[in-house]
Amino acid sequence: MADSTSILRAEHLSKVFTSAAGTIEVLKDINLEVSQGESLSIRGESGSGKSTLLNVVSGLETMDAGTLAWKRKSVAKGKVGGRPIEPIRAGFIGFVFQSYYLIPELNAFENILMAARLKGKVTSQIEGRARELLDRVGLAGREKQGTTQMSGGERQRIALARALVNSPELVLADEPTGNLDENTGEVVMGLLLDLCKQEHTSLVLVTHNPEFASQTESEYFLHSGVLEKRR
Amino acid sequence: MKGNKTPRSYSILNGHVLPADIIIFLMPWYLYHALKQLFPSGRFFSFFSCVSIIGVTLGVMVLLIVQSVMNGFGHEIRKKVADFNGDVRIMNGGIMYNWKEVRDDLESNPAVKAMAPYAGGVLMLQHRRIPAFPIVKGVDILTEGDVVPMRDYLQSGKLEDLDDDGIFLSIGLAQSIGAYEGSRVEVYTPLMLERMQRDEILLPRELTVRGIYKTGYGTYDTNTIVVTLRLMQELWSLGNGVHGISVKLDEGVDVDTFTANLNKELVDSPARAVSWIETNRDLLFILQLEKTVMFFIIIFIIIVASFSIAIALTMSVVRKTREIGLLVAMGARPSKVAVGFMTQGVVIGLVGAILGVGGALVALHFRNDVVRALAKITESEAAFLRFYQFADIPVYYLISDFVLVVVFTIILTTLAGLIPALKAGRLKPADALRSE
Repeated sequence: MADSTSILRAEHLSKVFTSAAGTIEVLKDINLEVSQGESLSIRGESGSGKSTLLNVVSGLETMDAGTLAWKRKSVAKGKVGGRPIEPIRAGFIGFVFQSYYLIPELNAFENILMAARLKGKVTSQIEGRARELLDRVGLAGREKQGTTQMSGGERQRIALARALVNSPELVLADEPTGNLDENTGEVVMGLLLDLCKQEHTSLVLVTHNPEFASQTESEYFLHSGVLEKRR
Repeated sequence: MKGNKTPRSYSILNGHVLPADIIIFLMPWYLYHALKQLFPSGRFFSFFSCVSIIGVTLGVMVLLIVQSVMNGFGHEIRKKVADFNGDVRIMNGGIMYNWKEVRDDLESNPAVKAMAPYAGGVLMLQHRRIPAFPIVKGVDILTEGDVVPMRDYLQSGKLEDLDDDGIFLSIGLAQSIGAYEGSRVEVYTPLMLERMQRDEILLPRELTVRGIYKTGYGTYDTNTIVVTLRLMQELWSLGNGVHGISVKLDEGVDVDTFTANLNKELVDSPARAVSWIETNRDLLFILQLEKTVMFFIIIFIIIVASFSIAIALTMSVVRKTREIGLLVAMGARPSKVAVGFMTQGVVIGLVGAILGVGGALVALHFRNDVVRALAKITESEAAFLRFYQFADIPVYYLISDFVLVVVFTIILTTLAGLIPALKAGRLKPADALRSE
């Protein structure tokens, strides 16, 4: 079970996109709470607002109404408790994307350490953690390999290690198996769930796959901007 | 961040620590990211950085080569002009009879290395019925060699051989009238023309060519002659007078300052000091103008290279939109993303400028071999020597030129990186991550 300590709380959150074609309310009165160590999944049709929800709760996108707090500190207008959001986000949230988003000019090890660089400086301890994560995702000895020479599954494993290298409180995974075949997807998903559990890191998983969603502690469904708890 | 979850401790790069590794590990992320974009892991260069750096290098190289050679030509011409006339001339606008007093007064001046009286004018010269109207300079054989390196100029004959029945011809003039050492030429002075108007019988003065000289400066080599001062005094009826005194200054003495100070001392005298710089102001202005114009023409190579960098970096921002979104998601500040892209422009400019300076120095070192090889291939060695009057291509390095070119290059390439940097810095992370 998840700890009772809330690390993310969104209340009455809404988001509207305005374009020449008109306005669309993508998120409607969303309430979501994530406790420390908890894993939850969000399913929904394409265009239902799943990625937008992750962007809003991570502070990458501004909300139009509602409140958001990370560890009880208010998040608004690019600030967390009055301090700039970027350095705090670097240590608080780890991201895993469907398309991996690895930097092609860096090798596998450098890609993992990039997250640490963005948080601050690279120390021998961080370097050790990066090696350890590389080992745990099954890619020990592949440090210097270019990521463009890796398979999709291997790239996503590097992305998992990168998301966890700063020991974040929360991992936001946006369809992490969307670009992988069924078997590789299962392996990667297993790794993601195991690592988060071992690290006692909270996980918000956006997925289309009901089987993967069922492996998390809670299940939500997003339909036309409305978030509904299923389990 | 949660507590210590690292079960094992590691040293940087498995204990093999190099100074460069430490710098890389401590480097701010945006500098690291910029350098990795230019010099990716597993490859020494990216295609973009390679082409951009070559463009800047070529621009800097060409600019420095042209500037240094222009300086060299200018320096040679200045040297030849100053050598042939002396650094300063003291004249009174007519015949100077008190020149010995002026000379004696100046002898105690520590800036003065040597002095020589002279007289000058234009006369008519004829050899085998071929006439010419050269500028003549009458020199004191005993002192002229200390002011003007006449001995170095002489292609045939000796300075000491010049007597009152002799004449030195410039090489171009000698060729045009077909005279050589030992030839006899006839000279007619303006004074003779005056006598002719008084119905006196006109008898030219016959002189023997005692030597042929070449200064290396076309203007002097095509239409000048040298005779003794005594002969000039006789032909121009100057008596003991001269037209002026040539002054050679010690190395390092500022010619303009010396001339200005001397003119203050000569304020009560009809004499006036004129520096070679003042006498040749138009020539020096043209030399400087040529150099400036060449700079502005060639700088366009670097401007074009900078535009290419700006386009390539803008394309890179477009291509890497999602990567920029990722960096911001992972904790990068948009302003630092912008600095990272601008750094790429700075690094290209810096590396290009360094390689350009190095390339220019190497090319200038081997300039004569390259030009000789080209002249040999095109069979134009003789034409080259005849046309440029220099056996070797002269070069004069000016630190100020190098500093100007390097600073200008880095400013241009930094500006080239600024536009894409601003574009990258303005990207909204969520939009960037959503982009296709």
